[in-house]
Amino acid sequence: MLAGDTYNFINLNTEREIIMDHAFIIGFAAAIVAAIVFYSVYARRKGISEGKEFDERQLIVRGKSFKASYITLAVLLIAYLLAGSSFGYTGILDPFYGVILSLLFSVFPMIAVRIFNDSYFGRGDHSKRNLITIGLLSLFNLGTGLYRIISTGEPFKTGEMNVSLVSLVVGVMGIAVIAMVLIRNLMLKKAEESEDDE
Amino acid sequence: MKNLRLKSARAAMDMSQQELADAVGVSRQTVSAIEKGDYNPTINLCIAICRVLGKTLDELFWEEQ
Repeated sequence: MLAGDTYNFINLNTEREIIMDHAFIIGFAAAIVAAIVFYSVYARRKGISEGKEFDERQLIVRGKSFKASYITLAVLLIAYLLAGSSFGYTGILDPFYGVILSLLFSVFPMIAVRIFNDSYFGRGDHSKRNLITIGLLSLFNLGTGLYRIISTGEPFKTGEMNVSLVSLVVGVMGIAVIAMVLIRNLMLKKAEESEDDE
Repeated sequence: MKNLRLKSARAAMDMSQQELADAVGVSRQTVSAIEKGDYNPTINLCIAICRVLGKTLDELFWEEQ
């Protein structure tokens, strides 16, 4: 899968487009399952567990954050269905965009709840390293998405999924995560200063 | 409700929130939340804090009605 390529589910004979047939979908799903299984085995061997990385308060907050994510996903999907029924499932309301963008945006409240309740990063001080990684990946996705969308001029096309749009959204979300962490750090710093003044 | 007794017990031991957090195995923000009254710790965490600060549960966590 190359960034910027489109996937045509309807017209299998279109030239210069990668065709996502059943074999590709099965292979893609198998790759995701393999990655999950591999990481689970690796984490078990290394003794990595959420319970060791996060304390009791953080685990409670992380559990509650899933609720925010679930509710957001439900609202987005319902809104998408209503919008599609009213305006037709074309353009940005194409099922590919509707479902994938709903999934991506539903993750956002979960991350926000964790960041503003100091439960995003664990007890180990990896925040700077993680932020740098998130920043680099976000910039890469942002750049890739913007470049392909600008060069093709077509972010939405009914019956096709433009991966560039997904890259763009992922990039924007990554930048938003960094912004939230920086805002939270500022809030904590101000709180500490006001406590020292007391 | 703020837990000022915890804060003063920690200050009496000349410990920062981070040092207390490291000693009991939680994050600094959790210690801060307990002192501010934003979080009620479990009994295990209460006991761990009492052991580190050399206080009893009543002295640090009992709330007078």
